[in-house]
Amino acid sequence: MSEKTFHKATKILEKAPDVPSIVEAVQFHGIRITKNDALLKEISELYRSRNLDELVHNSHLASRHLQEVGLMDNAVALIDTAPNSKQGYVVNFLVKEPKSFTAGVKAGVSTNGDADVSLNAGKQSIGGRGESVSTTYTYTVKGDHCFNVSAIKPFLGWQKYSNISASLYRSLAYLPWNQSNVDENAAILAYNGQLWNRRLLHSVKLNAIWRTLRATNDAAFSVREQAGHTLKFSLENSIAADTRDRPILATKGILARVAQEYAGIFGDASFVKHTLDLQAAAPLPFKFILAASLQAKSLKGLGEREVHILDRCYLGGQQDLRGFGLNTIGVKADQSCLGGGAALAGVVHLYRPLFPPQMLYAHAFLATGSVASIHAKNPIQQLQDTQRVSAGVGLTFVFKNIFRLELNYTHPLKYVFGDSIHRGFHIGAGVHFM
Amino acid sequence: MIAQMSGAGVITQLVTDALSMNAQQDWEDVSLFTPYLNDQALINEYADCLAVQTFLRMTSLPFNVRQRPNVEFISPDGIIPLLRINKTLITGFHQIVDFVHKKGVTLTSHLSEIQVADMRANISMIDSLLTNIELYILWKHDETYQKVTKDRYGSVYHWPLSTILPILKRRSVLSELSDKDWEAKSLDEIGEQAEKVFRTVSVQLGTNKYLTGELPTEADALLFGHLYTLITVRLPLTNLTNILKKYPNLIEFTKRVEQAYFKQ
Repeated sequence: MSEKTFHKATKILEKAPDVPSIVEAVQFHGIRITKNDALLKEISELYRSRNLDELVHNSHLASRHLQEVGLMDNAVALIDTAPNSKQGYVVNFLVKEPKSFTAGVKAGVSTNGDADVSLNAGKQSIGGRGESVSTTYTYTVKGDHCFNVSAIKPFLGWQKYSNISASLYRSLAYLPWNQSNVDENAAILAYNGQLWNRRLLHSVKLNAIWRTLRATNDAAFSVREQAGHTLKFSLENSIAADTRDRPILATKGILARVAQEYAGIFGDASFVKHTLDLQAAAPLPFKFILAASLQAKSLKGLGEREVHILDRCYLGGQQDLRGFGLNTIGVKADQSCLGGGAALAGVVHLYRPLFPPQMLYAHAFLATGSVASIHAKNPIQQLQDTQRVSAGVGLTFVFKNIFRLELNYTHPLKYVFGDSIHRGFHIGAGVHFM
Repeated sequence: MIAQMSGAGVITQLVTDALSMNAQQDWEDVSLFTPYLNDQALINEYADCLAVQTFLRMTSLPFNVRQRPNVEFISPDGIIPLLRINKTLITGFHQIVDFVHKKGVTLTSHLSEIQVADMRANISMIDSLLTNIELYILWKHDETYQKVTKDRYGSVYHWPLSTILPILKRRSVLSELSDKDWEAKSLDEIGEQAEKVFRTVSVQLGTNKYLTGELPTEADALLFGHLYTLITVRLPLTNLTNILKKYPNLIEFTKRVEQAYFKQ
């Protein structure tokens, strides 16, 4: 093949809608472990291309999909004419399969802003059908450590983006809002897929989590009372429509997600939790971007016992209601936060790209939110009565799609006596921001 | 012999500090947190909870008993029962007695200081020996573990925790016993230890109404807690009860205290 010259697809793309094409062969170069049936599922649609334009387009989709489901590290489609026929084409995929084994060490920052060091090892496409296994061991500066072993199996097929996964993990963490430590040992099964002609994202999770809460000496008795072992079995279902161009900081598009969590078939926890997320972003003149997010949560206990403190709704912190301590909004006992039965929060942002344009932004926001007590007779009234508001300006730094850092001057405008208020410069780091 | 309380020295110090600060507060809204006495508490826990209740009844201080499945975790140092007075938490028989004493309520005003010191040393020894004997039977004696301990300890959890947690607890109690050189003892040696304790207290009690004479002290509360539990709770292993039956004055003592403080 080396003596031939290939051109970029853009050269003929959309110029050849009338050139009929017959795919005579699809060839892969560089296959060692990938199974034949997996490749067949991935490319069979290519044979249906009716003209050259479609073939070019589909070949591109196929090579991208091969990489995205984890079958290949790299895949390039080269389209060649077939030697013995006028309308015939041969598609050659030059592929590079994933390394047999990967391992690494990295230092990073967790969603709560703690620095950590983690060791990881993994294997992609173990059985030659895109299945992957990864393991992580993380140690944070504060002395917490955890492990995670997870396996994912994608469903292969033309433009199919769905998978099932299983993970086992143990984590130990300090919850400053509850002034407690919690150990979790969990087994989680998940399905991710699409609904309604792939316009909606759908995910289902089955959680089995054994949690051990240990109150510190500072914790209020209301927290201490709930210490010990509890078992949560829950089923989570989430449906979302997402047209955002970049989830971590969208410049346009919307996200609408509804999620339910039901616990109560087995285990100690027994509740239903509903979460609604809405986000929208739109470009304004002079490169400004206007964005808004809304999140509503409601929790209803189903058993006789009140909903465990670990299952309640929390709000506050640099990722949602900026200007207040992490998860500190709502009812408190001494210095411990007890969480709530409903929470509502909204944030309006104005961004303007600085330099480099896709990474650094000037940022101004107005945030509001409140949490209603788990015992509230009229949660909506309570949400209205205890509303908090904060505003701020700062810089937002986005690294690709994986990490976001905010440095803000925050100023709480409306708060309730006893709130932990953060006025001044604060850093927020993580992935999920409202 | 100094009492081998399982609390670490630091915690004892913390509690002592807390006590000296808070001992002045009023005796109001006092709660005693215990495990579920009928279905969950193990004999050593039952004995301690009963001892504290008896002591508080002897002092006539009012309190509520609150039974919770997770008292072991509510308690800051894992020792039960747990006494809560406002925001102060006091754990275990000895600390509760000390706390009450610091509030000026005492059952030993009829004794000299030396007698009190003797009595304290004596009950520490009795308590520590009986507790070790009880722990040995609960966690080391296989039949008792399989038929009683495992189920009662796991009774407040759902499967699979109801299976896992007793195993973890057994491992930790056995290593504790092994640190005290109790784990390797034979059942006969345990019987001898029990015989020794019962003989000592039986001799000490003699024909008195209470251990130190006509008036009850915390020693009686503690002894009653253990004896009543050993007499009434049915275990697969009957050795202890049989040994105890050889000392009729102890049985009489138990009946007497029960009559005086629990059947009014």
